[in-house]
Amino acid sequence: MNERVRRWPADLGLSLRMFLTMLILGAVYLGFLTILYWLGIDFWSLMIIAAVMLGIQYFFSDKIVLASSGAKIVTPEQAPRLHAIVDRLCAETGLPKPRVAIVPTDVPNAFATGRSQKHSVIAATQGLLNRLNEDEIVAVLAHELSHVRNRDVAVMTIASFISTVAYYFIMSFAFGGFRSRDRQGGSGLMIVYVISLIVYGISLLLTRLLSRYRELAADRGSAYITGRPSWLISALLKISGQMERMPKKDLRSEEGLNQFFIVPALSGRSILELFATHPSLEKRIRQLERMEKAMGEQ
Amino acid sequence: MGLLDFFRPRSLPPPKIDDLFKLTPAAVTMGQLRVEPTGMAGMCFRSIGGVTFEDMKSGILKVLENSAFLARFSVLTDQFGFTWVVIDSDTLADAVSNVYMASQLLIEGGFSDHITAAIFRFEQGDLPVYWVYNYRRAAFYPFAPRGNERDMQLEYRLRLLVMDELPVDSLDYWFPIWGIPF
Repeated sequence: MNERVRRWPADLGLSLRMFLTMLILGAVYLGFLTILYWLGIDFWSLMIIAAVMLGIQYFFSDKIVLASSGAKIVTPEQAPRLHAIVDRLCAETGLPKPRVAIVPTDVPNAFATGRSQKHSVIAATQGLLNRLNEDEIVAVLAHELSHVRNRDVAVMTIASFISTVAYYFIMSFAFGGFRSRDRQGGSGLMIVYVISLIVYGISLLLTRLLSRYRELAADRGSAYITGRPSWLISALLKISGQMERMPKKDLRSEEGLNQFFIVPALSGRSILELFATHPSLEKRIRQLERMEKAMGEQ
Repeated sequence: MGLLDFFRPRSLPPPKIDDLFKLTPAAVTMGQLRVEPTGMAGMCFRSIGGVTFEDMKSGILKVLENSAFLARFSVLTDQFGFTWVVIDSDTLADAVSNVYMASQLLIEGGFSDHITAAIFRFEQGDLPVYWVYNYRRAAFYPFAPRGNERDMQLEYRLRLLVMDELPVDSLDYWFPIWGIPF
């Protein structure tokens, strides 16, 4: 039988960590703005400061992401196969060629970053390159190029900014405007801050919803570029580690272990799906299935 | 059920075999992946010695012989020592009815702990795709053997396609069954 593949590390812990990181970053960000607001800075100055902070994030998005993921930019000589695929995809889509990076980790994954098409970087992990076949790598990189083409880094940055603006509008109504407030001391500041966190949590949910929508759009982009939705389906199944869940032992040899069989199959949606940056695997594959069907009927 | 019953060894509840009939309508949906039904089915159960078991086996064969859903059948034993009743019916609907009747007989005879699976053969082109009904789990799962491997992608896509109309088991219980004799 086939050689036993090592089970890929689950993504759940990573997602949770990233969500908490986002929450803490947002808390610090809003906390900073709230303190400035209590120090008497007016609404418009506050908005400018917020815009500058997000601007830094926006203009240095590629550097921030590359540094935090440990991705290394590679030359065509260092990674000829990866570059060849990117070259071909760029020629097909008419996009300027992004810089190409490899993340030296075994977890199969890929991402795109950079504020504009010219400044974009596409990164793939070593685990992805090792485990996926050529077609599947093409499909994944086409997905990432679709993010670049859809300008998703810009979209998501603007979305975060809009939620900040919306939050301060709510605050100014709730507290009777920025100019007419009187200083209430520490407890007032705490209340404002707690409400700010709640509003921020809601806005995070909304941006995550937007993010999931962008992922589905990038999946569609990949299917259109390659013309083969099934390549991405196959890649997603490999990356997600779903196949690793299937048992290797024959049903008949498992017969002695009856107790395992009476455990009811659990199903149902996890609350984590609300916070997820990516739509569920099932949703993504279903969309690709529909596309494949439509393409087949043409 | 008392608290102590929980710790007592007990027989499994009788399988809910009515779900078998959901396979026929689901087969229409599977056509989207060009997976087509056949009339071939098999029941796989753990052989035990004894007069009652032999009586039960011949009972099953008698039921199949007199079935209104005309079928040819054979009995064989595999390398795991499991008994297979292979039923060759004209259509999937007939195969389901025959398996249902035989299952009912097994369960009524008190042998529900010994039935492992009912397996229905489908085909994609010339390649077999099986739908396995696991009696203990009361759920189906697909199995598409390709040599020594299985086509997990096809299996997963079939699951997505029919999971609303057919009780499909969690992926953790998709045990392969190598060497299905039909």
